[in-house]
Amino acid sequence: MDDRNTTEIGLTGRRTLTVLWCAFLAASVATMLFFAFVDPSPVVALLRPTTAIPDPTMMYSLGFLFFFSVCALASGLTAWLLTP
Amino acid sequence: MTVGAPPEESYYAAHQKVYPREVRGVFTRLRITAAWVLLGLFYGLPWLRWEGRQAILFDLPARQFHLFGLTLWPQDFVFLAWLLVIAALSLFFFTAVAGRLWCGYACPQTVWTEVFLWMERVTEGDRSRRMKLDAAPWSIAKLGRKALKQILWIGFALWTGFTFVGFFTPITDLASRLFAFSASSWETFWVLFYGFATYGNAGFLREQVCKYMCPYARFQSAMFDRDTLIITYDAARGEPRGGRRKGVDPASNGLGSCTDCTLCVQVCPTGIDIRQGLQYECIACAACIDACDSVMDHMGYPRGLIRYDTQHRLEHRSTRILRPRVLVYGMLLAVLIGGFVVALALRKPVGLDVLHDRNTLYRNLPSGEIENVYLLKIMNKDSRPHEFRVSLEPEEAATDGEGSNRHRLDPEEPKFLVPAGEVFNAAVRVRRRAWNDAADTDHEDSGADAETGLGAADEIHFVITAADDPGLTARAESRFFAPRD
Repeated sequence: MDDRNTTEIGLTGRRTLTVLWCAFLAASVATMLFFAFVDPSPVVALLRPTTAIPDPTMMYSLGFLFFFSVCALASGLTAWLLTP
Repeated sequence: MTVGAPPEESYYAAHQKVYPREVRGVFTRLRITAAWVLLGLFYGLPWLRWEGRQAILFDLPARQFHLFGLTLWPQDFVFLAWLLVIAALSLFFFTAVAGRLWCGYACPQTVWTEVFLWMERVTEGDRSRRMKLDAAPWSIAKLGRKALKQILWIGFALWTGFTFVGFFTPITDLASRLFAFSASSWETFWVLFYGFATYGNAGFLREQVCKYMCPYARFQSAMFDRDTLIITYDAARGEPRGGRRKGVDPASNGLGSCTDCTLCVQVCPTGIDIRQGLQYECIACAACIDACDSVMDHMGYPRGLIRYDTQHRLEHRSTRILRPRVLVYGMLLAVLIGGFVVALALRKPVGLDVLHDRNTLYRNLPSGEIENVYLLKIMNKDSRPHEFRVSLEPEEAATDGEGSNRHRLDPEEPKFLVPAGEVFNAAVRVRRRAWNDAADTDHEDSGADAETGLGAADEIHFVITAADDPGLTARAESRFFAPRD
């Protein structure tokens, strides 16, 4: 392993990380707003008898990951289409 | 700014690993102090207790945010948003006055990078040793140093991830569960997620986060003007630069004060040369000031060849702190903070929601009365339990001579004890005589519906009052349904 190369992330790496980072920021805001108005506990109660949904933490996590992937999709597409 | 200047590929190819040199001085001490305080707050706060529970806890399952004695609910979301606006405006304000103070001293990216750099220095040695080590072929000693660094980095990153999750889950429980390997998969996931993010940002990406990923670095120039405090090189005094022996008067050689020792470049964590003027990569950490001052001391020249100053002062013009920009930011900030404090102080620590029973709109009782059932959600946001008395607000059209209210609660005055910081669901019944039985006939006929045979729906208002504090009340509106006569 050449340590000199490990810290140079390259243009693709830079683009990927920037996309993920912007998606993370936007997803954090979206998650906060969404769950401020929507309480996932009735959904948990509804699902509990049939499936293995252990706790609301999972709903919050899934909610965040959902927003994260949608935002990453949007900013990823933007970055890709703007590539000269 | 470099946007669009050179072709991107070659722009990237120019990137070299930055080996920041260790530096000592006033600003370094200030930076290290700030790092200790901020890291101490981050790693220490989740362990702080307050009235028997974690002092700062963003309890997601219970949907409550505990901040010492204050409990915020999702209904108080506006306070959180408000706080974020205040934080953003403070950033604008401080940037306008003193430049990138945030970047140099308070940004988590800077603070964690400092810690990771320190660990690198402990395991791999100072700047020249690190460069030699990286250039050297692999050996047992190199492997050992690199492995030790990675162990420190990964351990610290995992501890960071654990602490972060500890703001959302009671940290003592989390610690015991993690050590017993019985933490839920999601808790483990988030510890690893944030551990990985810390490692990636502070160990791996470092200055590249500031250069390529930070939005603030891009728009901060909008808050700058020629009176903003920035880190500058006094070119008029420094140039022409050149080497000379100690104690030589620069004027006698036709030189400026800059000895071209390049220490300011070597200490820079973003790898720029401050002598080329203000650059967007500069995070204003002031490491170059400390480096240059030590050289000036050594040479016997006055300090401050590189210093905090404003563009106007460098141009030998007067500089003003109070400018329209600063006044506007400052006034907005004062109004927002004042409003926040007042709103928080006036916030009622009790809330009431009323839901009409979904299954049955109304019931005809054998006594000839009509009954509606309601579910009251009583929120006690206070830090102590309260007993709440439920009542109906007196109605205007109360002329039947039998008490002031046409509607009455059954029982007459229900009371519910609600523990601190909890939502209590209470079912209450409201009754009134049927229309044809009522003395007044000019009742409000707002919701009459011929098809369902449903008659009017009267507005009624529920009021809850704390038994121990009459000022602690909340009010909510609902409707009373009755059949058409």
